[in-house]
Amino acid sequence: MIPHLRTIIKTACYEWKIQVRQRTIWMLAGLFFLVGWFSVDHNSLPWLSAISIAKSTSQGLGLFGSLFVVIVASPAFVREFQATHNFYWSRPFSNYDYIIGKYVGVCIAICTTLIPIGAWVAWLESTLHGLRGIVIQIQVWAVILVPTLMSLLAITLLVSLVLRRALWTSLVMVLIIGSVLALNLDVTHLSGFAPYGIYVSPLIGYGPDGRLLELHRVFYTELSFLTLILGLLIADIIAPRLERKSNLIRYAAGFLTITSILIMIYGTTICYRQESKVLSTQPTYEYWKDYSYCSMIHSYQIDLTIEQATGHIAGKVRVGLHSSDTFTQVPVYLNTGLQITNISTSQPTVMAGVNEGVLSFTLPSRWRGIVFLTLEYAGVLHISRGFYDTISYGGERDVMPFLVGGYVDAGTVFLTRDGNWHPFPGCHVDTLTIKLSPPHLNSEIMSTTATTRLYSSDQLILTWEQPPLPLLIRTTNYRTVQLREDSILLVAPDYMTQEKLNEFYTPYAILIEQIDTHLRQGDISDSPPSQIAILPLIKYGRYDPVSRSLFLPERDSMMWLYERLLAYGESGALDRPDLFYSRWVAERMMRLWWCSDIFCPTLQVYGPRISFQNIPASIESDKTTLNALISYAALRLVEPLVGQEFIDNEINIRGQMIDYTTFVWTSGFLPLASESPATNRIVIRLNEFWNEHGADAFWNLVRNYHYLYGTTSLPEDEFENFVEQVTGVNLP
Amino acid sequence: MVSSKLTIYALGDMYKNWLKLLWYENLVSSPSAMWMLPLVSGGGLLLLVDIHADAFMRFEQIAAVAEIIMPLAVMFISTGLVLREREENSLVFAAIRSSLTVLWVRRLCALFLWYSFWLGILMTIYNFFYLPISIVQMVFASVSVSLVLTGVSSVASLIMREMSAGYLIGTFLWGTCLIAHKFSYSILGSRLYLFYLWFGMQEEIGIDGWVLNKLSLTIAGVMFILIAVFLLRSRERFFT
Repeated sequence: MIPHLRTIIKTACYEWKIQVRQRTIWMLAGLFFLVGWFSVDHNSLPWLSAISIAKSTSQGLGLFGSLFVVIVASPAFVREFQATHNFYWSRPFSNYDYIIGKYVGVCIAICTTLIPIGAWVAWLESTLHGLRGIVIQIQVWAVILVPTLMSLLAITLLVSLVLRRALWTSLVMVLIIGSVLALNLDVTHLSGFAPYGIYVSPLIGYGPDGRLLELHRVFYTELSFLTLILGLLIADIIAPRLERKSNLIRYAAGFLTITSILIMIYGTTICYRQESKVLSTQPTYEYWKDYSYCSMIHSYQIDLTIEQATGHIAGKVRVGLHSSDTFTQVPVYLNTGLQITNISTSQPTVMAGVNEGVLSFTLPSRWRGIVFLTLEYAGVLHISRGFYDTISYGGERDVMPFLVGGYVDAGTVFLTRDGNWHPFPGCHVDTLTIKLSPPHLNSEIMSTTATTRLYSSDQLILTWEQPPLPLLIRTTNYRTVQLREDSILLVAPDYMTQEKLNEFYTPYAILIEQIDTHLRQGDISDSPPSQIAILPLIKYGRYDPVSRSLFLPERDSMMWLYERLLAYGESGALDRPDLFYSRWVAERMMRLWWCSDIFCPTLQVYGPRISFQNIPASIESDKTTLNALISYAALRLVEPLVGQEFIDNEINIRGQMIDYTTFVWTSGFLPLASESPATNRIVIRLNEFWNEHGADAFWNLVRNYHYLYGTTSLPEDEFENFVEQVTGVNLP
Repeated sequence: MVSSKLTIYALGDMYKNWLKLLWYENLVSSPSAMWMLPLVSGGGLLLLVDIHADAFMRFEQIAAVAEIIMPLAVMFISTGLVLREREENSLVFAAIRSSLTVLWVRRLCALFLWYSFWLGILMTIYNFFYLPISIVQMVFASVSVSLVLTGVSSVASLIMREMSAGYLIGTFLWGTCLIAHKFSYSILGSRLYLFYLWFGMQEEIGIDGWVLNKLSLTIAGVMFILIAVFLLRSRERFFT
């Protein structure tokens, strides 16, 4: 064994030496550096998390490295089969040892070429995120780069031994790899040699893509071993000398090895396909547009048990439904990973069942009153790519909220309201109990308005007995950042730099105070400190004014907007990016507050226009009055941050846009750029109302509108009547 | 009458000799080219199997063969025209025949003639059996891309004195234009982007500027080849 090992090490060492003495290798290092450099978005560097820097560089290097390593490796693998290298065949060592050694040597040489770019990325990571960033870089590169390059080198070895010409090998391999990468038609974007388009988060890692990525990488690792073994067999056949006679035991061992690797590849492929199928399942969105079925629900109680280690969820729902019809059907929008296991009714004469997402029940004739049904369900949340991946899906799906509303893994669990982790999302919940196990006493828990919190030996029980439906997070790796005196930020450790966190999230904290001052009724003196938590997967965020808890998305379009504003600011087109940014934050906060206890996802589909420029007409409904009211309220809310002059400017521009509907560049990044002339007209009338009757009257108007009409947008004449009714004065 | 006949015969002989010379030049310098180019062209016939594609799709596929696949093969072959012999330590035999510059240019011409011949055949078959196209347009598109790739890879390999270096740079350029096509189009612009016809069809931006694009590429390619000629210095010759 030791002589074999010695041969392998020696061969690897000399092959590495031969490789690094070639100028091509150093050119390869330069090209790797170039690719790595361009893989990082330098403008948004301070906003990038450690894991996203590592991911983008490893993906870029994987993509181009797939082509490069073939060219470097193919001459090395066929060197001994060329005319002038016959002396090799007169040496006594084994073919296998020598070829494995060469393979290892080439692998090490390729690793050597990655040193310059690796060092630069490590420097970047350590500067932005400390030493932990380097650890993350090593982990991510090991997962994404190593199996890719290993498998490609093994395939190159095999092809070059078959063709025995470096030129042919390079051409064939480059054409195949180029085609696979360029013509990748797989919507999961994971079928190539180097996976790209994968989800990654500083808090939950690869999240829903984790299992798929794991299988993908295992597949390519297994493939490299199998290809290497096949390469050795071919080398044995084509070698111009006879090896020592192999006995039966060696043949049997070789056969068993190949068979077991083939079985492993087959198993991995099956699992990969299944996982891929789950992820690419087309998600259903119906309830997002029509949740009128909620009006049939009289009472709704949820009892949920979550096993965090396995992600298993078991739910028991007691729902009271009133219906005057003998036969009634109610849609059930439960996540596809959760199956209803049992249905029971309070009255034995009532027949109920669920078939293809529809709950049907038959009442006895002349039935009057409420029927109570109990639904039990269990399973693991399926998170299809359509719920979070904006690369795979465009248009309507791009603007959908994260309808699953929940995520569970061993380190993190969160549930937001209106998710399909319960059967009737979007409907009012009376009581909710969540049992989390294990209790994880040291984990960071953030929940809104939980009335009781009980710890037992194996569970944490949280109960809510009042609306709104709660939001809950528990994670073991949040870090806490103090934004202001009474405001904290909960964020993943390697999300972005401390300075950028303060810059980006402090306006939110100030606006929470503004909302408390102007829009929250009752005594606010004993309000808890506001908490802002950054969540993966969600798209729009949630806000609970009672507990002052704000949930914001990790992949935030605001971040993109702020970057652009800063970039334009440098060119002088927008000289105060911080003001424009604050204005946008206020718009978002107003809409989050508006939807805090009402299910109104369409109202939240509002943001930097570039992200939502393809909003289908079916989503954009006529909400002229409501948009005007919210937009002007947001403008007034942000006054401490932007000042009166900014407000006057915006009103002036809105005035211009009534007459000139063409795009006004200076307002390009204001919400008003996308508003209709009718909306702008109402905003100006509201401004006059503010000027004439003052702040109190205006905020009273907003509160009343929210309370009485919610997401309904009144026609302009009815809105005028409403203003007169609430304030006693006419809208100017 | 007799003298004019003699002149014609002489000219015929001269052309015959030239063709013979180019044939042998090809055969000796890059034996791979003798079968690789017909093979790649034969592979291009696979498109004929696809009977469901519409006209736009067919044009895009033909453009992919002409602009992407064939030039890559030419680039791989051309990089080794002289350097292969240098790396195999047999350049001395080649170099005593004539100057390296003449040798290289002659081999390059032979290769491009051979390549154009097979490309022309392939495009003619496409024209009759797949989609009526302008054969000249496609041949010009393909040759211009090949010139650039050949020029770039030759310059790189002659500077670094290693064939692999040329392959690496050529493949990098080719791969960038293929894999990161939008990015490279934004960097290189419509004049210097390699796969203009293919990209124009795929991104539905039209191919109106193809003549300018291919002209620019041809000029750039010739310039790179000229630089490569200057890089083939006399001391490359292994005799005094």
